[in-house]
Amino acid sequence: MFRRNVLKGTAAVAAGLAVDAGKLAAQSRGATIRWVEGADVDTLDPQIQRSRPSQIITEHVFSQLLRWKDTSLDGFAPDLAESWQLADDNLRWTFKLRQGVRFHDGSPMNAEAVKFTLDRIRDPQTGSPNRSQYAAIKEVIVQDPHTVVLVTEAPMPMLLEVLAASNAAILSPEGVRRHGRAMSRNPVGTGPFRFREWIPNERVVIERNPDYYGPAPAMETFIYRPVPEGGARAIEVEAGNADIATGIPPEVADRLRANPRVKLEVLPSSFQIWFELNHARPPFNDVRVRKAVNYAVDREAIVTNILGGYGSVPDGPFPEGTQGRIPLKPFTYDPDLAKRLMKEAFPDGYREKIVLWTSNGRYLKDRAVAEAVQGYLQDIGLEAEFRVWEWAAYQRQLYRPAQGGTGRGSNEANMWFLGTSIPTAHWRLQRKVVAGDPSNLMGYANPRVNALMEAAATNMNYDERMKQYQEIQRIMWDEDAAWLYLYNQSQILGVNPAVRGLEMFAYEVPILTSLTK
Amino acid sequence: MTGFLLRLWTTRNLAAMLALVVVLAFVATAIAAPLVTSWESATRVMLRQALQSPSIAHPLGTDELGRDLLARVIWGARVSLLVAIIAVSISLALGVAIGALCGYFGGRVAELTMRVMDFMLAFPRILLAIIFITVLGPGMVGLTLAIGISTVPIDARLFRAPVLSLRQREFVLAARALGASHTRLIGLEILPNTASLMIVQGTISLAEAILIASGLSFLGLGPEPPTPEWGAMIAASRAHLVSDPHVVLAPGIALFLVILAFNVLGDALRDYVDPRVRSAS
Repeated sequence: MFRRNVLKGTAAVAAGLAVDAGKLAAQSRGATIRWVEGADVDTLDPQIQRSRPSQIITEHVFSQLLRWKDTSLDGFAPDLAESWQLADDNLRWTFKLRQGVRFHDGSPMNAEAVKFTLDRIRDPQTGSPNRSQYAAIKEVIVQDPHTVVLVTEAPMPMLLEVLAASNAAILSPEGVRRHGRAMSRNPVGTGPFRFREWIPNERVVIERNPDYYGPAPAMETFIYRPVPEGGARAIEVEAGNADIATGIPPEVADRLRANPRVKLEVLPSSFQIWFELNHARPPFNDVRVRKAVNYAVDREAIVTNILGGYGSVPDGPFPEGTQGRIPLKPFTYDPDLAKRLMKEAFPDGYREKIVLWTSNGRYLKDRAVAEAVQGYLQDIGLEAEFRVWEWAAYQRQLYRPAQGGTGRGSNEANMWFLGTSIPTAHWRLQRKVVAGDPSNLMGYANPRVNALMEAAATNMNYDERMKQYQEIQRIMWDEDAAWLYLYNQSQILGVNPAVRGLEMFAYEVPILTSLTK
Repeated sequence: MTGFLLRLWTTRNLAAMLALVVVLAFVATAIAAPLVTSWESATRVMLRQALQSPSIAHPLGTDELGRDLLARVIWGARVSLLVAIIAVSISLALGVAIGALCGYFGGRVAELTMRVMDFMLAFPRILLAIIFITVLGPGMVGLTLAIGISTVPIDARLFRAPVLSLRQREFVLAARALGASHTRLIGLEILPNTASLMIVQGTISLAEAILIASGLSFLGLGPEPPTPEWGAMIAASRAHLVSDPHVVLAPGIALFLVILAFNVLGDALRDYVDPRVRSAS
């Protein structure tokens, strides 16, 4: 291999041809990047996935019609669609597809495949957690093999955002038909990487797609391994068993920083962590109590002492790196004000115990933060009963449909630990603040917020639409104190210094095409 | 009791004497916890004082949430001892009863019961305890019952054998010839003769119960926060083992001392009640 390349190189120089040396070098190196992360991939069906591990793989095995231009989420670049156009009625979107693209299984990518994909995610049978985002699409029309028309019920300003998300990946109809439900273990896309293997709880391997229509990935093979324990992930990268380890625990981060054989990368994240509050039951149905708990918690101390400084105090429901963010006035630590607010709401004190639920290990230091919050609540006279959940059971319980209260299994608790990294404004808000949305676990309902969301959903003026989202953020923060805001997570990565081209989205997914070593 | 103490003194069994002192000290602090330190200082979160090294204000330093470690270790002793004593009482009560009845009456039901006990013994004990906690729910009550019930088969096995042999002894036969009832025979003739065994087994079981309780708490199956429990304290602070070892060492050493003390004491007790060992020395 080496010899052949040397010969090729010599021949090229001898012939005096202009050879793209960088490209040749990149291809000959055949680098393997080994990535370790806290959890295993749960599915490789982009339409079903709801976790980051799956997303890291599917974003690179599949392509969407378009994608974000770069990690700043500022504007779109064409991907499988070469261009798109919106008709004057603001309802018909025409997408011109790139020609000559084939799926990894050799079948052609065309308008039929796009229609198949979008019809599949809109089908309730598929069970996609993102289906409601596509609800406004009325029809997908194949105009000719390389032209697709999407017709929406009403103007849909966030259509491009929706189509750029990894759950809008274009699937091979051939692959889905052949594998059926097993498609979730045999993804067939058009992306820069081809799927090679997935051994559950051990590794996922994807490799460079030689027929990729875009610039070829710099690396040859990408190996993803789940390592649940944070300390163990740090050791993997210190020992040279991994090139990149994510979610490094703060108490280990300083050790990595001091190690010359590891580079510590601390990047901003769109992950914000909070306690959701049950708006359907006392005491948190009272806005004064919600404000009280927001003033009762010393976030500075949480960030400094529990997160080791790797994180930040939220200055609004949207952290840096999210669309439509507006910085607001952070809640200060003011136990006296908190006690006064409590006294106003419950002059004789609140007697019942509050039920507090937390995950353990899903978010940076979740359990320790929950325990600290329990202590802060005790200081203002709220006694909390503490329950730690295993992640999968926690998800099932929270989202389980139930009668009354919040309408979900969450109604059995008063507060529960959650977070989100969704970077787009509409989807980030829709799930949490719109009354009746299946992911609105708190029973939060504010008619003004609903009206603003409805208006934004069809507002084709981008700046105005962002203003509407900002107004909602202001209401949730200043007026409603919708939940107990805790901290903005940082991405803490241990990286092999030989690694080049590492770029992360704020939602903690990398761009693999530029990554190599 | 005085006989035992006298023997410890005369045989110069320093280790056992020390163990006794340690056990008594822990029991005393556990009982006196509310007088020595406040629940408030053991549970109050003061993040700005997190991970302080030992000082006059905090003799053992503070933990990762800024709570006083000495107070937490003391209240933790109360929790550990309470769980262990109740669990051992449960297992002894049930185990002795099952063992005595099976040994005394024999027969098919007894055989079947003992096979069930053997079946339970074949399971790893910690696994058995985890199954019970899954059913009963985590917390102090679940933890105590889980340890208690999972120890029952051991005690049942242990007490069946002496009852089996005691029931054939002359004084029992004599009492039976006098017309004593089964209850009287078991309760007043046979069981008092196993009392020494109960004390020994109880002491050693306490050490095991404390260890299992902290193991289960380490796994997150113990009492809920903010209740201080040694195993849970170790689990929560183990990330700081390298940077601030005192956070892990405080509950770790307490656990180590108590378990060692109970074991040494149990050994000494066994030597004391076992006539063969006693006459040999």
